[in-house]
Amino acid sequence: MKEAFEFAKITLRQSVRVKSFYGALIMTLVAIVGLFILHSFAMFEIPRILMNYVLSYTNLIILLLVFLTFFSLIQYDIDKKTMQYIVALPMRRRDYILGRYFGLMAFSFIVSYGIVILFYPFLIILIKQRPDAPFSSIRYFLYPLFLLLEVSLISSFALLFTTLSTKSIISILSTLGVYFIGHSLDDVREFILTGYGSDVPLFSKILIKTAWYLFPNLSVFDVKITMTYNLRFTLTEAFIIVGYGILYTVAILLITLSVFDKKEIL
Amino acid sequence: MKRVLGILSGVIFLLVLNLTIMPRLSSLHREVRKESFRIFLSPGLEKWSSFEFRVMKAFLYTLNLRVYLGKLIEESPVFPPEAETNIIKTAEVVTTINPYYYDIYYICNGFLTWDFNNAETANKLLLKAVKYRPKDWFFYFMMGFNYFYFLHNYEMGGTYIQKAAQIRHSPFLASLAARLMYTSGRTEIAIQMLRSMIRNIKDENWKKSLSKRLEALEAVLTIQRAVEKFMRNMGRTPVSIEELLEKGFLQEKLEDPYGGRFYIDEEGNVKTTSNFLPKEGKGEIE
Repeated sequence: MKEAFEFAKITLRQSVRVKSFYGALIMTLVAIVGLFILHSFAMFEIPRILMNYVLSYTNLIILLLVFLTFFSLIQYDIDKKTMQYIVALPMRRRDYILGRYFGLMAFSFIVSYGIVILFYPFLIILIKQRPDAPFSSIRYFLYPLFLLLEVSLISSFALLFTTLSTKSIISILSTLGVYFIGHSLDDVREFILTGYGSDVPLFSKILIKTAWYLFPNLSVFDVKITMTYNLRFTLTEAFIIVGYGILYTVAILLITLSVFDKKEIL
Repeated sequence: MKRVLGILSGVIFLLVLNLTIMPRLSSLHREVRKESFRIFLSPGLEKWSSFEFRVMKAFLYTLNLRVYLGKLIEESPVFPPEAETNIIKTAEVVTTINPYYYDIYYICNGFLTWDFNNAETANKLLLKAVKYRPKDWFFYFMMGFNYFYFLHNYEMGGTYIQKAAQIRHSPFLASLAARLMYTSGRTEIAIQMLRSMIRNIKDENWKKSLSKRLEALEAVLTIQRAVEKFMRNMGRTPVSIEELLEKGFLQEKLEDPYGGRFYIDEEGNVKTTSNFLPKEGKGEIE
């Protein structure tokens, strides 16, 4: 496990060096200016709109960074033949996977909380000017935790696809596929269950239902509306979401580890 | 040095491009957008395609509607008929993407009622608002107002304004609801509602104000019952309050606390010359 954490540290250091990280920093500065522009455009409930803007921005940037960083690191490993070196080292193969996963998660944690902390003073200044809706700092700082759970799931899928495929483009597309399916399956299933779905062929219905049970439901981690509009959110609900995210990630990571342990690396 | 010069010339080129071509391109784009407004997918598909960014998408669509309506107002005082369809379509899409969004209900209600006299659709939209935001008194108030002012349905108006009064704990709204219910002939409900409001109010001034309205409505109810009894026994509508007093249907002459005079109209309804409004100059909020 010690080796895995050492590898996580390396991943974290590499992630910070990836150019997209600096791009994200510049984008964040521009987004802070956007916060002021948005403030003048919103009509009512300014705190809610501004809070959602920050949370949506954090969401977008984290997803982009994780995708770009993860796949540039993988590309780096392939180009520099790191995998072959790792196999030759006196360490378990699984430490590489776990190291990459924990490193990426640590990176996502730092970036997501970095963004929400950076925005917070500006948000407070603007909200104080027009406090026409309640604003909860607890909910504001709680949201990134759910975002990180989603990132954790996506990262574990990205690792699985990287382990299964030989070309990074295939794993990129597969991970993107999981993201889109994970976010749309709930709506699609809801659609086929209503009257509108009566025209959908039986085969498609079975396929959608199977996919619904197979793929992760990523929309459960999107609690932005719940947080922004102060909707009822019990501890039980929070624990179910957290439990679901952790269990799913562990399951995917276990599959990835067993595949990677037996993979032939030439 | 060469690199810096290269970057600088690139920036200058972009600036020149933006200053020369962009205004023309932008105006062309605006023309196209005005013609087509925004071609929406079905609300379900719009929601589906929002992924994790539903609130921001709803915000952008609403902003787009605001810009569109703003331009129409600038161009002509009368809206083209397609503007109504565009408002309704946008409302459908936005409230599906984010049914909690306050602005869209506010904007659409304002335009649909005042500019297109379509209070029915506005109220349908507001029904959705109260479904998702049941604790927001203003949506009930808007619905009540639409029923009262645009649809002349005092009973429904009173019911929704009563609901708004309950949520906001507002004696003013309670008083207004009571007036609407009185106008719709539901004086007894209005009295019950006022009694319950008075019990829950802590502010003495408001309590006094509502008690005055209660007193007035109780007087109306007493006279109304006397009128009904008179009509049952005599087979006709009484000519005046005095006739009720003379024939023993009413025990005493009741005073309107607002300073008006009670009278009976041709259909046998009890009314007052004050219309339950305080005399001018008193500065009283009822």
